[in-house]
Amino acid sequence: MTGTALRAFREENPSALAAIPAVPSSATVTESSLSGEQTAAVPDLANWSSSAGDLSVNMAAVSRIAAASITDIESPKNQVVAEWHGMVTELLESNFVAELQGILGVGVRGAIEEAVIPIDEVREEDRGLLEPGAFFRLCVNNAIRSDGKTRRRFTDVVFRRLPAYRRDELEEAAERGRAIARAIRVE
Amino acid sequence: MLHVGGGRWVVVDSCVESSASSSVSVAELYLRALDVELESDVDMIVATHWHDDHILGIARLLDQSKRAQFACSAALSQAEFAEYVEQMGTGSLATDGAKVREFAKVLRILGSGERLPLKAALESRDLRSWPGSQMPHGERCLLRSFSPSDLEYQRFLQQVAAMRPTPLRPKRSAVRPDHNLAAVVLHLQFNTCSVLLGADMEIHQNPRRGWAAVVAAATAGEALAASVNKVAHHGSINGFLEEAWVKLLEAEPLSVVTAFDRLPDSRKLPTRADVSRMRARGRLFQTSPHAASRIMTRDPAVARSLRESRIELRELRGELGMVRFRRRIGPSANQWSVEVQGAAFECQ
Amino acid sequence: MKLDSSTLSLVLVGKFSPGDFSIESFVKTHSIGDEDAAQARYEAFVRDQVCDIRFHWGKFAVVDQKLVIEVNEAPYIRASDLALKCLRELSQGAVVRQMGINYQAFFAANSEERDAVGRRLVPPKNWGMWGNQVAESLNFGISDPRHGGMTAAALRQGKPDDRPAGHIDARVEPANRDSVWGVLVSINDHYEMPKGRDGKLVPDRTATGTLLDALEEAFDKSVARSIEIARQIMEAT
Repeated sequence: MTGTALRAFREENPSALAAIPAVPSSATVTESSLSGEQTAAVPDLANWSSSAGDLSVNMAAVSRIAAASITDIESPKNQVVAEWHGMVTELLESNFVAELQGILGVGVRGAIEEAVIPIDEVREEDRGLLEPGAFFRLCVNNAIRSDGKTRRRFTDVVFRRLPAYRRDELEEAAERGRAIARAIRVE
Repeated sequence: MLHVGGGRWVVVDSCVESSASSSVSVAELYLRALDVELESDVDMIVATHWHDDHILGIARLLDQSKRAQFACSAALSQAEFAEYVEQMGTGSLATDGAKVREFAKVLRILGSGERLPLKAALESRDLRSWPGSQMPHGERCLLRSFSPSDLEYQRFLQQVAAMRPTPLRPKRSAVRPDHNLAAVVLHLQFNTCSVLLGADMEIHQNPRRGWAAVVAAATAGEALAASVNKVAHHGSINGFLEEAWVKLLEAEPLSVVTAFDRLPDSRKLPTRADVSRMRARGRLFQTSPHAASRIMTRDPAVARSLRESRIELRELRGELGMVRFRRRIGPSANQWSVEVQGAAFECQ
Repeated sequence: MKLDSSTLSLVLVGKFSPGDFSIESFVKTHSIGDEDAAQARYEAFVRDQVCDIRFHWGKFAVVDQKLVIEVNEAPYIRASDLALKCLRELSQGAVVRQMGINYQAFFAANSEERDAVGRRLVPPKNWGMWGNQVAESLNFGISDPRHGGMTAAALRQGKPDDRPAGHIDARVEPANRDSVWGVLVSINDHYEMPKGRDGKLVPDRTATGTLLDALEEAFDKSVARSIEIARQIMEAT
């Protein structure tokens, strides 16, 4: 992405998006990358018009701007080397027990394992989610330095924040259950 | 698995080989290896309770065994449980705790209208009988359940109600409920001998619960003391009631126990003390040794990182073993012969 | 060539209400944790029109016809979870007609390595005499304006079996990221609803439900497949 497109966007939208930072010349990203351009056969959002004072915004341009600047914000260059899908089965005093299914990594993918994980490894903001039945991901990451060398390796336990049950879906499922129970003859 | 004579089979619970990713039960593999026709020769399949180490593969087995009647705790046949199973089984979350979906499949098969009625197991209930006239050995065979009691039935449904998902709460997996006390204890009786299958039944202070209630029911039902005993709850002290061994079993019965392996290691069953206690009462066989917890071969850097975080990860891979008890049924005094295969062994 | 960085973005196309989304609404519905909320900042916010939030792990952005969640560190499932949280809980009236699970992997590569990738994927000799000229131009130094070569290569897999309609596209091109030159592999795993037999669009509710169910079921498989596609493309070169 060159500075040309950004300048053009700013000229079109002088009043909107004042918070968008200027793109440093070093943060160059190809136009083909990232958000949205690859889902084809849709209204061509790249060509939305926007005029000065008009609060409609060209989303593709927002995305490009976001893409252009994302790499010079402090986004870490972490590479995941192993990842497991986990489900908490039991809480112990200072650990929890979980069933794991390997998702990514040599010797990890496809494996079914059991784990004992210290509760200390769970972030403070996730402690409220820690209960039997809760889902999480266990990742082992390499944090990469700007010179491309591994800075450190670390594990990350990230609890999943899933949608809440909806009343209507629970009731539909309960009705299915009742229908099944009615159909079962019992003696 | 129980062969009651004349090529008639009863399958009690189900498991799959731990290294296998398929849902084919060990029971199916065993029966097919003996050229048993699942479609016609399996008379009954019993799920003693809903723990995942007892029901894996049971849906497919039931589906294949077209003439088999399915038996389980009466509570599992109730609408409350079916509703719970359907509510917890929606969505695609990869780790299906407590194997809700396995039981959902069972209930759907039973509700298809093409199966015999579900046999609800409660204390002192006859589940199935085979008249002597139909058996080559000439002895009547009776399969009875001595649990769960009415009290456990009610408590289980209350537990299910408490576990039901509620609106606005985040989605969770179903977890292994603590309902060993609602397990189905089975007694298979011929004229001259009997077998006791203790499931995961445990003891309880309340005499109307647990093993005490089972003993009362069995005694009232004049159950013949068993000479073969499938030890309850992996031989744990929680599954042991002296009175049950005295009143429900012959002196020096043949006993078989299955290992239970879960992290942390301190929770493995049976313990050495458990084995000693059981061996003091007769010969004891174990279907497999404790699973050799295998640390997966992986990137050493990954292994190191996990170690540094004090995260213990193990693939629990058990070996398959079988203990087979055989006896000729008939008027003359006969003895049980015991055969061990695979990883099974006699405890010394 | 080593993997330098990777990003996962989830793009949903349909009808959305940007006014339903904010850092506050995410906190209220426990869609993000307290730490995430404290570090989050708006990149753009125009009430009822645009919401663009940065997190330490990526970003969330929505306008009336598109919703984008981008994750630049594992676990990528955050994208799917947040999207489902948004559309099944926060903003239940949203419509989803198309979905793209897009994986990008950037491999650091010097000029020789980039040229080798280009020669392998788009052999200049298959482009006639002009292609031969381009092949010869590879002998000039990388900074020489006469140096030519592949600018992009793309391949499409038609409708996979796991969805009502869609495709998987892979694109490879040279790129520069944070002053590092390399090769960018972009995988677009695209899902949409086909038209009905009468040529009409399926109802909004059906399309939305089907695509969100597909997201829940397919996300991990999609990411794993895309990682593998990228790896195979780069190993083949």
